[in-house]
Amino acid sequence: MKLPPLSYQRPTDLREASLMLGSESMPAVLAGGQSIIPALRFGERSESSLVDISRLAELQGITHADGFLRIGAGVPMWEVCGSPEVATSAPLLIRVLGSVGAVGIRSRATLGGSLAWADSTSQLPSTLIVLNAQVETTERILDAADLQIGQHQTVLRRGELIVSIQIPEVELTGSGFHLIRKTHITWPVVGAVAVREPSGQLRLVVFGAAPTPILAVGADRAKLLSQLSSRILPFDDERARAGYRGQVAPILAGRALDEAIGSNT
Amino acid sequence: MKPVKLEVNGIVHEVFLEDRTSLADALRDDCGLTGTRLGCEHGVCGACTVLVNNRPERSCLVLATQAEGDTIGTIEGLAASPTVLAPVQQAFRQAHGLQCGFCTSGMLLTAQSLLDHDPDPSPAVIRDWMHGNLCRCTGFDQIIESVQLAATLIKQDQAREEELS
Ligand SMILES: Cc1cc2nc3c(=O)[nH]c(=O)nc-3n(C[C@H](O)[C@H](O)[C@H](O)COP(=O)(O)OP(=O)(O)OC[C@H]3O[C@@H](n4cnc5c(N)ncnc54)[C@H](O)[C@@H]3O)c2cc1C
Ligand code: FES
Ligand code: FES
Repeated sequence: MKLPPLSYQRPTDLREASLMLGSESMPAVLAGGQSIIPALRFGERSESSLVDISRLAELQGITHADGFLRIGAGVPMWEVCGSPEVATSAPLLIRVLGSVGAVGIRSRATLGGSLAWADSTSQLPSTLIVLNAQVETTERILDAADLQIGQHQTVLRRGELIVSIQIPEVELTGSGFHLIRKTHITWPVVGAVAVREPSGQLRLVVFGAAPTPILAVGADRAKLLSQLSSRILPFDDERARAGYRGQVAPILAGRALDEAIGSNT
Repeated sequence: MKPVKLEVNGIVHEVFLEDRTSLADALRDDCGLTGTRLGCEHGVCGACTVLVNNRPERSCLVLATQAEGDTIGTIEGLAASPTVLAPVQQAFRQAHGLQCGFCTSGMLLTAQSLLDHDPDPSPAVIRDWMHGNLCRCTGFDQIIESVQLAATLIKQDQAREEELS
């Protein structure tokens, strides 16, 4: 399907981007375009103008700062995957990114776009939540866990942009990641990601099992799984039925926890 | 409509486009480079893959105007001349990596980009790179074998060149 008529603007800095986004035409943000362009093609989104933030210098760069690994919201996943800083400080993120779409999608898609797109079946917001990441926006700093409030819904205000993702540089003693998907190119149906902190505390996030990622924290595997079971609110979509999601989510959560408890990365 | 300059295979094309024109449509309809195929037009099949600054990208999910200032490579620029096949093309031909050929432009460009970034990829890496390109007729094993053969052919070419110099 061809794109409907639209106008395109490329601001030169964040200030200009905010001005453009505040305009009456109610433009959409264009980052990697790997979600918004298909949505416009299908008529699932109806904006008639786009503001391209993909070249804004303020959204680029991967750096260490004050005990955090800071990844610009506009850095393509391709660069995140190839970054030695990320490989050292957040190897789990690279492992999970390897399961997103394909190389030719990761070459453009961004972490900021993934967080803002807020798809409940995505493995990425959940991974950032399990890593206790913070999200820096043009207006505030949020816990990654507080960003999404529903399927494709976030607390971001109109014109508010995600600037960076900040991951605490904590040496984790284990991590686990399990998902189910129909083919390697389709979005996950359901999955879980878990880490073990040096204190022995476990963090578990399950995706594709409720309209928002489910976070559970604690030291006891069994308690985490029972916390989880009361919060599963599975849904039907074109990829799977709610009943399937509800059955599989706790199994994948258990596997992710076992891997985190048993592994040393 | 506005003027857009696209650098494709080393040649600058000056075209007039609507903002909504995808890079794929601009290449095919305005630059006359119809080797880039369109399958799904929403990012799933990889048929429209072109190289943007040496990375494989889906040209159906990029606006042409976004690609201004980038270096674009299409299937028409893969071989050094119209009468010689590039090693990846030679390998796909030899190892039966294609049948109808519809997916092949995208396959070849993804394979070329892989071998530019990793001249000696493991089978797992080849699968990881190639799984984003769908083929409805050939069978993926032959495609993986073609990429392995391409890696060998490129290494042989390089060894020959080193011997000559
Ligand atoms: C075939 C295919 C398979 C895919 N498979 C997966 C998968 O398995 N898992 C997965 O997680 N994703 C998958 N994706 C999606 C890909 O990861 C997304 O493109 C990504 O989630 C969105 O990033 P983007 O940079 O492309 O954002 P865009 O598409 O440019 O934007 C998405 C949304 O975010 C907003 N936005 C973008 N950046 C910002 C910002 N900095 N601040 C505020 N708002 C912003 C935009 O307004 C828009 O609403 C797939 C995509 C395709 C085409
Ligand atoms: S035509 Fe672009 S991915 Fe299918
Ligand atoms: S050769 Fe026919 S689709 Fe691949």
